[in-house]
Amino acid sequence: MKKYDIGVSIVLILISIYMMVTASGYNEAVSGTAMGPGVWVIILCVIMIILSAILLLRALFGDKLKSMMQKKSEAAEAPEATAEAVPEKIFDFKSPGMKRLYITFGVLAVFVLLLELFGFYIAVAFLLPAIMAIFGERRWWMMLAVTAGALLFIYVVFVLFLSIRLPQGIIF
Amino acid sequence: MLSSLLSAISTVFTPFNLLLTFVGAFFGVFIGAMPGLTSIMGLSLLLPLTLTFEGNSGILMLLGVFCGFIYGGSITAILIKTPGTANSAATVLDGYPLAQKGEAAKALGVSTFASTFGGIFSAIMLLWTAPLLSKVALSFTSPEYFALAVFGISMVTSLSSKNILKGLISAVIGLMLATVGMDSLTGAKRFTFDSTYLLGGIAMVPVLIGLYAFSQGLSNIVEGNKVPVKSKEKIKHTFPTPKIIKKIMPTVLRSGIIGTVIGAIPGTGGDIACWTAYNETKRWDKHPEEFGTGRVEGVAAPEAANNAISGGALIPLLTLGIPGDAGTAIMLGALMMQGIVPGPLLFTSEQEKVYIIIVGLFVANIFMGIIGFSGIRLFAKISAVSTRFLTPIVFVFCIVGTYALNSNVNDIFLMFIVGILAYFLQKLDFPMPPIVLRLILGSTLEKNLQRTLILSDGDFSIFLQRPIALCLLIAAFASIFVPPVINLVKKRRAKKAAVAE
Repeated sequence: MKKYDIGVSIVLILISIYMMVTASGYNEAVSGTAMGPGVWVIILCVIMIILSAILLLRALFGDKLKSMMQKKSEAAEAPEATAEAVPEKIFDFKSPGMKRLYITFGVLAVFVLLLELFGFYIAVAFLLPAIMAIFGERRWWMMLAVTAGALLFIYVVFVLFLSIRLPQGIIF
Repeated sequence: MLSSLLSAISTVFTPFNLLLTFVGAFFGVFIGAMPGLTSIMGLSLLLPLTLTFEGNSGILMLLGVFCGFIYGGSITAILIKTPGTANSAATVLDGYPLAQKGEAAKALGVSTFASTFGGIFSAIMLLWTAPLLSKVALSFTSPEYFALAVFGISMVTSLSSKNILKGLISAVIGLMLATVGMDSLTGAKRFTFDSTYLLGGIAMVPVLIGLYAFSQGLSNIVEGNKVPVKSKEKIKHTFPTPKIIKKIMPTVLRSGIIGTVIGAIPGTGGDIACWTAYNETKRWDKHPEEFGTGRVEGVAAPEAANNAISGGALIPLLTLGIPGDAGTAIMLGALMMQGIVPGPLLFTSEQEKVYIIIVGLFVANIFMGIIGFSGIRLFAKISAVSTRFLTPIVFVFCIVGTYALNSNVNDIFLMFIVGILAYFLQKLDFPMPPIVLRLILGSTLEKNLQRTLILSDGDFSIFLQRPIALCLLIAAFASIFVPPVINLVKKRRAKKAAVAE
């Protein structure tokens, strides 16, 4: 968790600084009101920077503080100590699950492309079996049945019943 | 009051509105019964659909979903030991042993009865307390509203997060997202990057669907295929006998009260209510040791309590405009998109709408009971659908739901991005409810601060001169800072005790 916390807090601080600098420009444009359009943003950014800084400091020095306190009391807390000692694996980037996730991102990218080019139906007709295949489904007739069923359902409910126009592509 | 109540009844009892409430409740039970789908996901997926209907009808449909899903979770909790939603986690303890004894029908009957009763009870409480509370709230002006919104959100942040610091960060992320777009008071463009898409602000529906539905789908993919256990129980008569009803009645009543009260506290929810009710019932019982072996009271208590949440959570929503949990936050979003602004003014300006919601809640609970008693067998089978089919279908509905509202393809891309970010943030223990809540309430919060400062000529000390606002702000800070301090003190004491030994 520690290294992720460090990363997230640094990113958040950078975003806040960017937003603060941008927002201070908003106030100059509008004058005369009690609270310019940038004031609220700046308040939020300051709060965010403080919170992220606490997160960062805790991630960097939290362990040291803990060990210092433990030395003082000499009573090592067994459960907490062991919990810290085990290397945490929140994201195991090489696990099969994460690999499935990467493939999903690829599938989504292709989906977006198909959506832009060919419209909703063809893009979804690709997306549904692709995700099922990621889950390990290999029976083609099952994939076909689920895809056809879902498309039919969407057509009846959204297009016929609710008369919503689904995205159309450039080519179709 | 009576005339608006009567006209509300006549609005709710039109065939089309009844049908939509029924469909909503059916869909809710359906979602609740599927272990891979969460209630919030169901609500956010259905939200764009309900917005396509004219005002009241859409809200009635959402109410149906809202009631149905809480109940639906109990079916799988009893039959296959997997609660469909966190709200039914306590039901497993006695429900599953009952099913193993061959009394699944009895357990399901009791849970349906208790759920229906709990829901109707809370609707009555809502009808009774909401007008009273709204009278108090009528004296509120911008400083109080600002303080109230701060209070509501800080309660949710502190109660819904494992890690309060990360909860607060989530909340500020939500508020920051809410600043994108045109400032309502001055008309200044903020963080729009010269794109017209962002001018109206970050659209709520894509964010909601991304946060709750799409990210859940991604996490299903990482976890891989789960083939659910099929229940072999044969279910016949489900309606409980008068003898059982008499036996569980005190439990159901007590749990109904517990559920309504807990539901009315912002930041709590069905999971807290069901555990509290279960523990209280166990404590009051003459044979607490029998709990966990298949006592009907052990099924009735959590189910009555978690359904009573629905009415309880609507009390602060309708009277003060503060959503109690992520589910009511979506309700708030839906109401605001329909042009209804919940709060004390609603009771004077649009009393009929308030009563439509309350009457709708009654009807939704009754439908839920009917669906429960007649369709349990069907739902028991549905819960066995594998995630490998469920997840892709959820993805498609995310896409259709996002697009349906504004017919804008950019919304779909926004939904993807939010969903992917949300997946990683959730993994890192950043809670999602504060983000949604602040995104929805963000502009209200800012507007009221602006109005307050106009009132006081930019002087922040106005909050010190307003007793109600000041109390609410102090309570808000307390709700965030007190729990960690208490924890620290407890730890210190435990350490001292350990040293002494």
